[in-house]
Parts: sequence; structure tokens; C-alpha cells
Amino acid sequence: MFGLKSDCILDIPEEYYTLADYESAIARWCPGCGDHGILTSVQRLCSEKQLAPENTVFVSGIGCSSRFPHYMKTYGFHGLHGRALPVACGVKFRRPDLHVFVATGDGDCCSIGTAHWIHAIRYNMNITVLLLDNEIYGLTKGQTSPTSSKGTVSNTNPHGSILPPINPIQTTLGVANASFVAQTVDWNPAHLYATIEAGFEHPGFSFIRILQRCPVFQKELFQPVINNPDEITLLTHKNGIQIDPAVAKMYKHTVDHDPSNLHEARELAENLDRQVIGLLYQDKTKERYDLYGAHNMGITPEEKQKAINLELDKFAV
Amino acid sequence: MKSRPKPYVFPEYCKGCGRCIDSCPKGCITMGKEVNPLTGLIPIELSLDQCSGCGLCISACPEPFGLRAQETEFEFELTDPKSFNGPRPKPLVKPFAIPGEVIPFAQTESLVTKGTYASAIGALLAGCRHFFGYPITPSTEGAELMAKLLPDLDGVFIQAVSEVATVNMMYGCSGAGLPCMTFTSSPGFSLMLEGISYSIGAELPGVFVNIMRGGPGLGNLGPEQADIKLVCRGLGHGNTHAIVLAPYTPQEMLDLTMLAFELTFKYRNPVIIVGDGYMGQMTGRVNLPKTMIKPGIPEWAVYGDESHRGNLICSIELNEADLERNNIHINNKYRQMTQNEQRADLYHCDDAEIILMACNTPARMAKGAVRELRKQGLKVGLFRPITLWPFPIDLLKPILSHTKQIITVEAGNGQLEDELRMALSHHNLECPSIDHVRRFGGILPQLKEIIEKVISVEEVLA
Repeated sequence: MFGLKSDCILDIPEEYYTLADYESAIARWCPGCGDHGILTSVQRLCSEKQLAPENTVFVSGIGCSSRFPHYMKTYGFHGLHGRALPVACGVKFRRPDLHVFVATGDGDCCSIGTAHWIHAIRYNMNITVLLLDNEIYGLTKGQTSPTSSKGTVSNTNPHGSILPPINPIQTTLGVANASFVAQTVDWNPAHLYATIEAGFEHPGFSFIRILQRCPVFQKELFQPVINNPDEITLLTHKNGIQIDPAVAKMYKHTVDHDPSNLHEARELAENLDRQVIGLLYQDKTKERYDLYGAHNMGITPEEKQKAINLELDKFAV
Repeated sequence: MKSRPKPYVFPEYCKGCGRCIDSCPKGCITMGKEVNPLTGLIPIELSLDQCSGCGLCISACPEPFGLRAQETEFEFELTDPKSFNGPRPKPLVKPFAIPGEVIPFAQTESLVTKGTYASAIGALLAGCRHFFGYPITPSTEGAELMAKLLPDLDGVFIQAVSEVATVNMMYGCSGAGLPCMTFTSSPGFSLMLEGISYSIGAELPGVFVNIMRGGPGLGNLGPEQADIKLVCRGLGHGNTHAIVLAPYTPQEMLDLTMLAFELTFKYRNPVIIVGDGYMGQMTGRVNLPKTMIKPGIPEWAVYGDESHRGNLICSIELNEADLERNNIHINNKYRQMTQNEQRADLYHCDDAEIILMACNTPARMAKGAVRELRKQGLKVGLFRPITLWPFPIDLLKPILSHTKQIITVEAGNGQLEDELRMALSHHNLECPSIDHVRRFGGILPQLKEIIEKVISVEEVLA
């Protein structure tokens, strides 16, 4: 009667989650820790995507990064050292309707949890994995991690580490059934958010390695690349991570890399002199184990009865 | 047509695998029916009527001297296969032990250092040059000291990928007959249990320092004594036990670590040192010993020299009778440990009517309480087990006659008390009244609480 047409009425969602709905305790990471920025990005993602906190699970193992679930007002699961991915797979296998995130660290994922990591990639369940990689053991106060670069001086390698580091991106790309591999940095919030968002949207195991500053035990590690963004290669492609051109402009060195090109992705990952950020590889068609787990959900009691009779009748005398 | 040689078989070299049967195109070979009395195996049977001498069966035979070609002239001499490669360069030597040495150690001034460091220094003085570990608070500092010192001492420090890798690296190292150790804390120790069980089965030494923290699960980083049941009664699967030492000062962390290396090689069995979280972090005066050890090589080691080449390290005994024999042997070792290795510290126990029982850091509070209560004229003593397994019941027995009350002081839920009760029961000793002071979750029993408990008990007794 006020001249409004019915299709002009705003469609207000029933529930509207704000950032505060995902904020739990005050994060107790050290001042200047890159984890703070990652937490903010994830909370923003949850609110942008309107993920119901009761349908969202954050799983972690042990380490600084694994304090993550304590700071999210969603379901949380602080698991065993190195076992975050099996816990997440367990959740996802039976509750495919939940949004499952994993926050893990370089020690958690690449040292004690390596076996689980490799097989979680192969399972390709619809999980978003954030590898918060600061290349050091922070929680136990400074020991060498598998991703510490050669020569890193730490408490367990006082004369510098001897072995070359594991490259988590290269490893993930080398495992059968890898479906989403991306790398980003904690100090570029636009790229960080866009990458986590792309990982969340991907149907399958999205592995995101986040280079993360540790201001206490690895003070100078990422300072050169922060000061000089030219030392980082930005991957740009229409199927890759889309960020604001104004942000993209700060990276002079870019590569137009098609995320479906596994061979080129491996070559890019192999080059340790230039860290790449962006989407290295994506394939939405890979087999997913969680779909197998879900295929028999919701069958009727009659069907169950029939199935069990079919099997047990074989033992009838 | 040139006639080709037909095969013949040495029955004692044939184990009846049947590979020749499948290879024969003429079907000349059949599986035998008679057991060869020499080997207990069933060799194949040849009927060479159809044989064309193709030689396929000879090439199929996996035994070097099983199926062989007949010489064209039937006259041949059997050659002893052992002499085919000429005489052995040296006869097999029976494995022998290379003895260790005790080296005098220049007297130095006392150190002021923390428990884990003291334990690491003790290990170095006991000749341990191989350390494997994984970071876990509150035990990491010991590993870090080893990381600094060992490369300069012709030693090896390896930060393993997990505690599971750690214990298996120790399995390998101690299999070579070399002293090795690790520092860990409760959750890490849980992960090592499988390997410890294997070490016990394979009779291998190894020193495990478990700086216990609050549990269950991840718990916290505070001190607790909640692994006593685990180290005394639950070292992995199977019939397992190990000597458990419980130090209560940094000095004892050093002394007992050295003792642990002696005992672990003496009995060929792992030794566990348990300390609570404070025990690892506590700083105190540490006097270094007058001697240090240069370890030898035991005769059973897989050391890689000629005399040890016949040795095999394993914990598998598929034959039931063999495994039973092995278990009886291991149980005999446990009995010897129980007879010979009971250790305890008795403080004012000679005339005590009330005995406080505690180990690790709570023993310090209990000792303080004894001092305080003695001033008040109460007959209180402290019985401090140094070996938790075997429980030092032989040392407790003589003082039980005048003991009216035992009070266990624990940072845990009564696991030490369980050990006490079990030992009393096994020895058919009349159990005096047992009470306790317990705290959990990283909080230790306080001096005040212990004194209050003793006074309340004393009132009841009076």
C-alpha cells in the first residue's frame, strides 16, 4: 500500500552470526605471533559464510598453532600430538554435514604426524587444513622442526641444522589423490583470507600452508620477504586465488599458473629460493572417502534388518 | 643327439618346496611321501623315465646343492659342499665381551644445576654417548644439553620425528650394545611403551627418564606422580617389568642415572627413572663422582665385528615351549632384581610410630614435616622408596613392628600406596593402618597439610 512491490522486501536470514559469535577466549599467543592474523581471517570467513557455530568443528593436535580451537566459539577438538588429521577424518567420516577445519603446525603435521598427513591427503575428505608453519618448535621453546631450513640454529641443533627441510607443498603434491594445495602468508590478510576461502569452497582435502611469523624463536626468518615482496612469487590465474588488484600490485614477480597443471605446480613448489603464494593445484573431481562413509547414512530400520538377516542367515543350521 | 644330463637329488638338501615340480614339462617330479629322518622335511621324488634332460628343474631349485645334474660318467665323488668355497679364512669366534673400564675422574667443585641437566651429566659420566629424544616440556632441557655436548664428545644426538621413532632408535642402539637414553614426559612415555615391551622381550638395555607431568591425556605441565602404576605395572604388553628409580634431589638425578646404566646392562633390561615435573626443573647442588665409566661391549651385542656376527636381536619366539622358557628366564631376572635391587632411604624410622611414605619432590615436603614434628616430640619417620619397582619391602619389614600408622604423601591418586599395599599383601605382612595426603593436577602436598594429617592421626592413636 506504500507503493512497494512484494519483491522489494529484504530477505533477512533467520540467524545472523557476527564476528563475536566466533570469538572465544582472548588468544594467548605471543605478541606479534602470526597466528593472531590467521585466527582473525578464519573468524571472518566463518561470519562471511554464515557457518553455524554448532555445525563447525575445529580440530588441532599439539603445538602453538593447536591452541586454535580454544579461541573459536565453535565445536573444538584439541587432540593428540600429530593426530589432528585422523581425528578430523573421524569426525568428517560420520558427520559429513559438519564444516571441519584443522589447525596444525609444522612439528605436528610434518614430524610426528607425517604418516597421518600422507593418508589424510589420499582420503581426500572435505576438510580445510591450515598448516601454520613457523619452521620451529615454539611451544617447547625453540627446537628444530622438520621444515627448519638448513643451518637453523636451535636448542637441539646448536651448530645449525644439518638436513634440508621437508617442503610440505612439494610433499602434498607428490601424494596420490591430492586435490587442493595452496600456500599463503600470515602478513598479507587479503591473500590469506582469499586462500582460506578458496580452500573452504573446495570439495575435498584443501591443504593450505601458511608461512607464519614466530617473533620469539624465529625473529628474522620472514623479515626479508616481508620487507621485499619481490622475493615472493604471486600465482595469478583466472582459476586461482582472486585478490584485489591493488594488493596484487605489490608483488612484481608473478606467474600465470593454471592450477590444473600438476607438473608446473610441482616445479614451482620445488624451487625453495622463491616462495610462491597462491593456488598451486586444484582438482575437484578426485575421489572422496567421506562420500563413501556417508553413502549409507539414513537407511531405514527395515533395510538394516534385511541386511543383517542376509548376512546372518548364512550361519543358519 | 647329444644326451643331456638328467637331474638327481640330495634328499638331505631338499626341503620339498615344489618349485621343480611346477617347472618340469614332463611331470617327472612328484611331492614325496616320506619324511627324511635327517632333516624332518619331505623331499621330492624323481622318476626319470620321461626326462628329456632339459635342466629346467635344476635351475628352478632354490637350494645350491638340491637338484644337480648327473655326470655323464656315473663315476663321481661326492664333495663336501662346505669346502666348495675353500677353507674359511678364520674359524667362527665365540662372541665375547669387551670389558668396560672405570676411569678416575678429577675432583671438581660442586655444580649448581637443574635436575634434567644433572641426569644428562650423570649419563655422560656413565659412558652414554647416544641420545635420542623428542621435545616435550618439562624434560626437554636434558635433551638440549645433550645436543650441545654430545657432538664434541664423539657422540650422537638425534631429534627423532616422534617418541615412537625415539624408542626404536634406542632399540637399535642398545642392540649394538651401546648405552643410550632418552628424556621424555608422561604423554611421550605412553608412546614409547610398545618399544619398551620389545626391549624387555629382546633383553636390551636402555635408560628412560620420565619427568612425569599432570594427566590424564595432555593434562598440564605441572608435577604429578600419576605414572607410577604405568612404570611399575604397565610397561607395554606382555610379561614386563623394569627397575624404577625415583630421585628426590638433583644430586640423586645424577647418581641414580649412573646407577641406572649399571643396572640396565647388568640385567639386560630397561631401567626407568621417574621424576615429577619439579624434579626435572629443580636447581640444586650437585657433586660429581670420583670415577667415570668407559663402557665395554657385551657379548650378546650386534656390534658389527667378527666375533659378534652370529648374534641376533629379536623378541619373537613362535614355538610355545621356547617362549615359555624365555618367559621363565625373564621372570628369573625379575626375581633377582626383586631380591638384590631394593633400595630405600630411611629417615628417623628407628623408633617411629608414624611412617610417612613418599618419593620424588613430595618426599622433600614429607622430610620437612618429619623434622618439624620431631621437634614437637612426635615419633615420626620418613620411608622413601628409591626403587618403586621392586618395592623395598625388605627394608620396610623390620620397622613395621613398631609402626602403628603409615601415611603416604603423593602428588597422585594413590599409585604409590597401591604398590605398598601390594607388596604387603604379597609378603603376607599384617597391614598397619594406612592413610594418605594426596594432591593432583600439578599441585604438590603441602608441608602444612602433611603436619595437620599427622597430628590428626596422632590424636586418634593416642
